[in-house]
Amino acid sequence: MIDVLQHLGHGFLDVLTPMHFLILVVGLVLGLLVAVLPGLTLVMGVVLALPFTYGMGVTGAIILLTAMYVSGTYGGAFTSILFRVPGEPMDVPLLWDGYKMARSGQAAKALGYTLFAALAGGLVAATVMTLLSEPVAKIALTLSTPEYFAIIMFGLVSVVSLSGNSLINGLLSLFIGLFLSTVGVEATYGADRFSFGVSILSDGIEYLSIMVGAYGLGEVLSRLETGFKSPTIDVKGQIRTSLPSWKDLRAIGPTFGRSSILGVLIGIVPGAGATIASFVAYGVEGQYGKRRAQLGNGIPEGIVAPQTAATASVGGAMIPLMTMGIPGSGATAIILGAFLLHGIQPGPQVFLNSSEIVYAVYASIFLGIIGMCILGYFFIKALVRVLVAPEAVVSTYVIIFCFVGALAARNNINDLWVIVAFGVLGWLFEKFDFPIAPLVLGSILGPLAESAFMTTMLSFENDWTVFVTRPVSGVILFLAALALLYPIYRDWRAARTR
Amino acid sequence: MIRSPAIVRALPYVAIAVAAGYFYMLAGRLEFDDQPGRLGPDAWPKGMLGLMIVVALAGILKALFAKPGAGLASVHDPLLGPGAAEAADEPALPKWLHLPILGSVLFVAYVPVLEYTGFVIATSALMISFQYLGRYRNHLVIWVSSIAGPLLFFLIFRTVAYISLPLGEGPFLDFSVWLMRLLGMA
Repeated sequence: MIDVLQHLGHGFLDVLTPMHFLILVVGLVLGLLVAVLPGLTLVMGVVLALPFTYGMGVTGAIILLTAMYVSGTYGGAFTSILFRVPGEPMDVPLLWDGYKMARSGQAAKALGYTLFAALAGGLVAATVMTLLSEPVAKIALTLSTPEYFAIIMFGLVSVVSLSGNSLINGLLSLFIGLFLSTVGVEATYGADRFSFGVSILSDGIEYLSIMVGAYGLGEVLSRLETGFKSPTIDVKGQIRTSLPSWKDLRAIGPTFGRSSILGVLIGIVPGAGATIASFVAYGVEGQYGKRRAQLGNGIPEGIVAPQTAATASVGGAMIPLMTMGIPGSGATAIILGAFLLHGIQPGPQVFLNSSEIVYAVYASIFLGIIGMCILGYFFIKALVRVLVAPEAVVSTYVIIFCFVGALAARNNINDLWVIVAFGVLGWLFEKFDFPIAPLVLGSILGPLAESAFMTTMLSFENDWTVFVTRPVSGVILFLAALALLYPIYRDWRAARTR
Repeated sequence: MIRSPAIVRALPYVAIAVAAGYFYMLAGRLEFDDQPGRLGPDAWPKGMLGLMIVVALAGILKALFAKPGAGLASVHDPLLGPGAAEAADEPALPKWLHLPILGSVLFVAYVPVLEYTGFVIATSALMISFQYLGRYRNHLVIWVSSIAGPLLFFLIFRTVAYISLPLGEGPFLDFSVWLMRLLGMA
């Protein structure tokens, strides 16, 4: 415990150096802007920022991305509550009560509850993350390749079962991602897999190209299908935040407690991010809240539950990422990518070899949560002004960020062909209702999954039953099977009810 | 009876199954030095492609024989709040399929144009065309944002981030060099 606090103290000092502090503030502002703009999603924003981290040190790079991730869970609340424009899917539950509060003249109060929920939920989750990480990492150190393979499978399967409307489409998206990760020269045998003699394919398909193409260009093409809209929102007038009183806070205590726990737990589950946390917390409030009958009519609980859970999910999602190298959400998948680009594989070893980086990132999350609330409190009026930016202009800048980002990676113009291909694929995925998250996560975790599988086969003389006969991997694979089968069971029951 | 919309719904799965089958065949032809008792580099991709084929076949069957919308409950459905009904009442936006297709064509054209004309001209042209394509018609905003943006990117990336953005060929190279001098770059 003392060690953890010492490390965290050093982490704070590291983040408070002028350069890292500047990066933190820039990340927070960018995250708030990305969350406010309806044309840009949080994951897309983090993807677009990734190429700009190449020239930074690893700590600075991760601070920038995590700061964007943290503040991105908060910024969309403003537009959701004030203008009924959810900047992110996770902000949808906020408008059900938040917008009604705003319309009844309580906008400042609604924003005050949001600020409290983001601040307190985020800090609770960050504390849990800091305290749990080392014990989890110690457990992870004792795991062998079958267990790692099982954990990766659990992560991949969770993404599939949580990321879309159709299990079949989710699985296909995942397998395509896993397959794409096999393209190029294989490390052990030197076999050239599926490259057709094309040099850019022989080097393998960069997951960055898949992410930038599918999330960036693909999303822009999808939006283009309905034509770009002009802004119709009036951001003039008085916009301010009024903090809730102590009495108000006591009244929402149980909501806050429930939602914090839910947010952390949902964040830990690989694949379930802030959006799922926000919806689930609102749903649970609707079932167990003291004033559940009034939910949806403009009560603070309807704001506190989703916002607390969304921000708390950040701390939860960082736990599997840092301790096992398994991302808990779309944004942490990109943060994992940033670690890998800087030659660091997150996992238990990183706590032994590079603990200063881990705790600097953790400290930046604490400071980031406080910082985003300060920025939100004082600069909200300026932030919401970005809403007047026309969607057409924002979209073309996203395109340019995508192309420049792809160029920056290797300074190879041929990489642009790859992101264009994945941009079109991303649009087709959206069009045919295939989720993109499993594709991206499959391409990132594919090499790790293959390596764990092949090493296990080598160590256990090609006995594949080892995955289910070893207790830990057996239990994890059983949970993975449950995660996969539950949506099928739910659909079957729904069909029978109909 | 199988109706034509069902066949259209099945098409993506057919395409995936065919592509996966082709790559499965290619995986069987990989060249490597076989080591006794060890799985080869074809094992993992074959496993993924095999599973892909099985799931795609399930998709085809579902598209052909299941009722549309059956078993497609969203993960959010049981949790939807009071806004769900309002959202359902909102009219769906009109869609123009040709726009993303033409947008994809612009992306594809951008790469060779970028090589030949350099970053500033190619990017400005892409931004202007893309905004007009997206039915946006504020000419001043379109032209100012499409000329100022690439210039700013060019300046930042060549002087701060040290990323060598393409300068183009022939007269376009001369133009890029002139622009660099104008912007005070070495």
